[in-house]
Amino acid sequence: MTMAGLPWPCRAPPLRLREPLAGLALRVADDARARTSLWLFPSSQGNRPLSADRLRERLAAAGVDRALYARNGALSALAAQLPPALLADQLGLSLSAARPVVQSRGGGSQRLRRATSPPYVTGSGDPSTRTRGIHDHRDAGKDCFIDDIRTIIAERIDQPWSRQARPPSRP
Amino acid sequence: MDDAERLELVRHLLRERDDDPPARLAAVLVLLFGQQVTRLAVLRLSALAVDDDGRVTLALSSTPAALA
Repeated sequence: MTMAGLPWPCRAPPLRLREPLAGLALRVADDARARTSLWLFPSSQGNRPLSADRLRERLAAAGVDRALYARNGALSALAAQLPPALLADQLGLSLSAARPVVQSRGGGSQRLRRATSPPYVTGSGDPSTRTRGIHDHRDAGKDCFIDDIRTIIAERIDQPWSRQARPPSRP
Repeated sequence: MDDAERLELVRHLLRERDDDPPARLAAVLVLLFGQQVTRLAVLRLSALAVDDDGRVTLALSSTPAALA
């Protein structure tokens, strides 16, 4: 799946990490760099990446013992926001796999709006749990919709209401 | 795992833990951004960047995508 047909400069945007996630990522990178590794998650044996199985074991030790369920939960939340093509590209799915996921969460191309068209709706596909986010015009044209969605999701962990299943609406 | 559970686990991993930073980073990327473990495992160091404004970015989609 490529994004070649999309008419806006939103192809494979890097994900912007906010604190404290950014600090954690930099710490991990510094450790890998100190080992002269080319990989963000290096193996302890030579200059090669950690195996997926070993990384999965360490995720389990960190508390994510069901990575597939965790991934599905995140995918489901993102699916409420994104059209199938973007979801497929960002998450490594085929378009045929992404489309029913998006449709099941009420998402679709009608939900995709440029970052220059605020406000947009964020939250799950259930209308009762949606919140409204207002895009910051200072970055208009530089960032894109998917980056903002991820940012909003990431920012939720810093909010006092992040432990609640239903966050309050933003003005 | 519902949204509240995911976010609580993310908060716990970022705020209350200090062990195994790579595992915690990978876990958060799975929990927040639905990344595949197989995809994360082959992330190159160059995927992480700090731009001129000090913003930290991670190019997840530069890694090979496993098509389902």
